[in-house]
Amino acid sequence: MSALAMEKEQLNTVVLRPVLGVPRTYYVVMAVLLGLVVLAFVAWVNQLMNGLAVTGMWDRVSWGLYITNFVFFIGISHAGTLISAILRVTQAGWRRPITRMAEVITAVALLTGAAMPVVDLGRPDRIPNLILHGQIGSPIVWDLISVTTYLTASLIYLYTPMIPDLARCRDRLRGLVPYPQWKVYDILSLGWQNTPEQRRRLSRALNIMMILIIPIAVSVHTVVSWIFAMTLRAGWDSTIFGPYFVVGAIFSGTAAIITAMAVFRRIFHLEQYITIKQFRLLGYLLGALAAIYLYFTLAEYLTTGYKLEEGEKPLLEELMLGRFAPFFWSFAIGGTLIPLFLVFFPRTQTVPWIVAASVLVNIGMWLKRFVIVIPSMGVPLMPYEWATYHPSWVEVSITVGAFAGFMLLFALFARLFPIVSIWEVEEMLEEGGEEAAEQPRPVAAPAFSFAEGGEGGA
Amino acid sequence: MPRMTARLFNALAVVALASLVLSPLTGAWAAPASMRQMAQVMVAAGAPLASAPVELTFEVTYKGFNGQKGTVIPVSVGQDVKLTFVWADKAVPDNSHRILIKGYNVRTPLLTPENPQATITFVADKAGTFEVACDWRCEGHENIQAVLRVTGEGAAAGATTATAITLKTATNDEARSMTFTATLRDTDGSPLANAVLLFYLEKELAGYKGQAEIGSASTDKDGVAVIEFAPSVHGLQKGGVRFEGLGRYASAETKFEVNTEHLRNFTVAPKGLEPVRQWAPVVLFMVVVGVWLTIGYVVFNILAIPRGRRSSRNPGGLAG
Amino acid sequence: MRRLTRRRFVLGGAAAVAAGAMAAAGRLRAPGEAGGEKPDHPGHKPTGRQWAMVIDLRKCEGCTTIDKPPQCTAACQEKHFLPEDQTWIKVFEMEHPDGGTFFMPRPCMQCENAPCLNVCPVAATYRDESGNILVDQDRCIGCRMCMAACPYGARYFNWGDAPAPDAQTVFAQRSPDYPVPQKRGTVGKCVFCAHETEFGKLPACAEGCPMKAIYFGDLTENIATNGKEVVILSRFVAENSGYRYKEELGTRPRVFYLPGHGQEFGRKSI
Repeated sequence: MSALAMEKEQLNTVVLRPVLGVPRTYYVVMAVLLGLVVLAFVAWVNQLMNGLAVTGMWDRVSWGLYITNFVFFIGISHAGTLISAILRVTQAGWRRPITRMAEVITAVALLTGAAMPVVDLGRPDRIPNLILHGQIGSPIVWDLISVTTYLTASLIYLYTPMIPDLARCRDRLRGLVPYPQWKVYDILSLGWQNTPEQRRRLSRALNIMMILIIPIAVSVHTVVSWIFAMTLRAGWDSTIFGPYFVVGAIFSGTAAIITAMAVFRRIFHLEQYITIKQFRLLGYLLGALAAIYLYFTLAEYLTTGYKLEEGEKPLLEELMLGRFAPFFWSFAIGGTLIPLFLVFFPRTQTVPWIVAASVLVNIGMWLKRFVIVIPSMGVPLMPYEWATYHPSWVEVSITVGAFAGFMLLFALFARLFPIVSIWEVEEMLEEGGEEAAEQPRPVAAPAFSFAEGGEGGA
Repeated sequence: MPRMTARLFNALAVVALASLVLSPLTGAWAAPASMRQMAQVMVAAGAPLASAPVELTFEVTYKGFNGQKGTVIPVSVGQDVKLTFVWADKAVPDNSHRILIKGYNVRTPLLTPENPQATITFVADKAGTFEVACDWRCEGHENIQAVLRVTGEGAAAGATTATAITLKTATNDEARSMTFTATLRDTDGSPLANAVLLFYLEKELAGYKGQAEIGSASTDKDGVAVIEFAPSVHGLQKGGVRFEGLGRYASAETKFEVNTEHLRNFTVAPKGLEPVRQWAPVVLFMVVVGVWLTIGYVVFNILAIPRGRRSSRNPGGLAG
Repeated sequence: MRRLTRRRFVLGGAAAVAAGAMAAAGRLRAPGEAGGEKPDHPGHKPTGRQWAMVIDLRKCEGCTTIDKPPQCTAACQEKHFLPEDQTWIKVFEMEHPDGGTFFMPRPCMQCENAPCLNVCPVAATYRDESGNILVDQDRCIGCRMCMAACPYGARYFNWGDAPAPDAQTVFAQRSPDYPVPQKRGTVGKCVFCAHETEFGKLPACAEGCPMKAIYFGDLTENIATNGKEVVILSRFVAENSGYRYKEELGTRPRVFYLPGHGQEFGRKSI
C-alpha cells in the first residue's frame, strides 16, 4: 500500500509542478503568442474602422478565411466530447490521463471558434439583434443556439470533474501559490471533502453531462454544416453535409488531442502517465475516422461528379484538377491516406509517427475546410468567370492570431490548473493501471445511476 | 428694311410648314407645291401606284418631327419608302435621337450634332399602322412620334366599305370567366368572314395608359368571333374590340364596359412560404428548452455539492 | 430558506417549456412573414399590387449597339447612389444553346420562395405587402448568409462606404424602400424601386431602358407596361414562351424572361 501511496505522491508532484512554477521559456512562448494576438487585435480594429473592405473578400467570395477558421475550430472542439464523453460512457480506462486535456481543447477551441463569425460580421455592433429580432428559421440562429449550448455544456463538463482536483490544489498548495490564486481554488472547489453526499451529486452531474454533451456536440457541427447545406450553391447543396461535418470534426478533434498530448507529455514530463498506449489507441481511432471520412468524401464527390449538375462540373474540375487541386489532394492524400497508413502500419506505431500523422490530419482538415468554403463561393452561379480570392494581411493576421490565442488560452490553463485529472489517474493506479477500471465505482466510473436510492445516501 | 423682309419670310415659312404637317391629317394638301414630297404623297393618297417611291425628310427636335407630334405618313403597300432624318436640336445641343419604325424594325443610327443625318429605305410590304418614334432616352421623347400608315392594295383611302362590330357578353358557368361574342358586318348587314378581331382592355399602370390585348379571334362565316375572358380584378373593366380593316373594308371599333364584380375565384398571386414549415420552429424551440433544463439540473447538482460538506473533520479531500 | 428540490425543479421546468412552446407557436413562424415581425418604414402605404417584371430579351441588345454601358444598370446606380461594383441589375452576355450569345439583364428575382429571406437571422430581409424582398439596412448584421444563399448573385455587400449622395438625398431618410445612402457593413439589393412604384412610377431600370425591353407589372391586376404599351402580363408571358431563370430551383421568381437575342432591333446572335 505504501508503494501505491508513493506512486500517488509522485503523481501529485508531477502534475502540480507546472502550477507552482514554469521555466523561462514558457514566458517567452507566451510573450510571442500574446504578440500575435495583439497584432490580430490591431488588424481587427483596422477592419472595424475601415469596414470589411480591408479584407480580400468581395461580393462574389463573400466568405473567406474567417469562416474557414470557424469551421476548423468548431471541428477540433469535438476532441473533448469524443475522448472524454464517449470514452467515459464506454468506461475506457486508458482515457483517464488525457480527459482533462480534451475538455480544455473543447472549451478553448469553442471560444476561439465563436469569435470568428463575430470578426466576420459586417456590423458586430448589432449582435444584440440576434436576440432582439432572432428568426428561428435561420441556420445562423441555430448556430448561435447550438454553439452557446455547447460552450455552456462543455465548460460545465470541464469544471465538474475538476472539482476534486481543485480541492486538492486548495489543500496542497496553500502558501505555495499567491493567495488570490489559492482563493480561486478555494472558491471553485465548492467545499469538496469527498463525502458520500458530494460524490453522489458529482457523479449524477457527470453522468448526465457525459450523455447530454454527445448529442449537443453532434448538433453543433451538424448545424455548422447546415449554414452551407441550406443554400443552393454547387458543392454545398448536399444532404450528407451534417454527418460529413460531424465525422470530420471528430476526426480533426482526435488529431488535435494527439498533438496536444505529445506537447504536454514532453514539456510537463508526463511520460509516465501518457504512454504509447494512449497514442496507439487514439491512433487507431484516428485511423478509423480517417477511413470513415474518406468514405464520406467519396460518397459526396462521386454522387455529384457522376451526375454533373450545372455548376457542379466547373466546381469539381477546379477542385480535382484546377487551381484548388493542390489543396484538395494535399488534404486527400496528406491529410487522410498517409495518416491512415501511419497509424495502422506496425513499424510506424511509435509516438513520433503517430504525432506526425495527427499533425498531418490537422493541416489536412484545415485545407479541407478551405476547399469547402472558398471554391463554392467562387464557382460561377451566373455566367461569370471564376471568382478569385486573395486573403489580405488583415485576414491572415487574424487567422494567425486565432491560432495563437488558442494556444495562449491552453497554455494559460495548463499554468493555473492541473492538466491531468489527478483523481481519475489515482483510481487508475489503485486498479493497478490496468483495464480493471471496468468495474463500476461510485465516483470514477459510475454506472448510469440516475436513481436516487442504492449507493448514495450518506 | 432687310429685317422686316426676313420676318415676313419666316412667317411664311411657318405657315407653309404647318400646312404641310396638318395636311395629311385632313387628307388633302393645301400647301404650295414647292415641296418635292408632295407629288408622292398625292399619289399615295390617290389611286394605288405602287412603284412610285415615297421620299420624305424630317428635322428632328425635342418638339417632334418638323416640330410637330403625331404626323401621319401615308404609304401604299409595295411602295419604296425613303425617310431622311436630320438632327436639328439647336436648343438642346446634347440631345440625341434614334428613330425606329416599329414593326418594320428599321432604325437610324444615333443622330447627334456630329452625325446629324441618316436615311432609311425600305419597301412598305405590309399593311397596318406603324409607329415612327425615337427609341433613345432623350429630351422631348414623348413628342417625337409619328405614324406610318401603310394601306393595303385596293384599300387605299377611297376604297372603303364601312364595317361595324356588335358585341355580346355572357358570364360562363361557375362564374369564373366571361365570353365575348363579336359579330362583324358591313353596312349592308352581311357578315365578314376570316377577319381578325382584336379584343383589348383599357389599362393604366404607372401613369401609362394603353390597350392591353386580351385575345384575338378570326370571324367564322357568320362573321362571329368568340373569346373567353378571365378577368384578374373585380370591378368595372373598360375595353374594346377592333377590326383593323381588310381589303376594301374599313376598320371598325366598338367599346365595351363590363362589370366583373360577380365573378369569383380569381387567381391570387401566391405569397410567401409554405405552411408546411411553420411548426418546425416550435419543435426546435422545445428541444432547446429541454436541453437547457437538463443543463440547469446538472448545475443544480453541482451547486448542491457545498451542502454535502462535513462540518468538522480534517478537510483532507480525496488525498486524505 | 426555500430549497430547490427536484420536484419543484421539474414542475418549474415543465411550466417553462409549456409557456415557451406557446410563445413559439405564436411568434416563431417563418421569418419575415405574416406573424413574424416586420420592420416599420415610414410613409408606406399598401398598394394592393404584387409587383413582377417581364424582360423581353428580343429587345435587349445589352446597349452594345449604342456603345454605352447598359442603361438599366446606369439608371439604377444613379437612382440609388451605388458604387460602381454594385450592379443591382446587371446585364449578362449568355451563351445561346444554338450558338451565339444573347443579353440577359438580371435584377433581383423577388422570389416567392426566397432563399435569402429564409436564412436571414434577424429578419432584416423581409417581404413587403407588394411581394418585394427588401433589406432593412438598419437591422442587418452583415453576416452575408443571404449572399451565400442567393442562387442569382443578386445581393451585394457594402464592404466600404457608399458614395455620398447629393444634397437633395442627404435629407431623405433611409428606408428599406429606398436604402440611400447605403450603410456600410450591410447588404443591398434591387428593391424593384419600391419607393417609386408605390407612388405609381416605373422602376429606374424600366424607365432607363432605351429599348423598352423591361416591362414592369402587377400580378394582381395581371398587367404590365414598359412605358410604351400596356399588356396583359400572363398572356404576354405565355404567348411569347416566357420562362423564369433557374426555374428548377423552386425559388419561384417574379421576373419573367421572353426568350430572344435582341432580334427586334436587328441583332444577330449567331
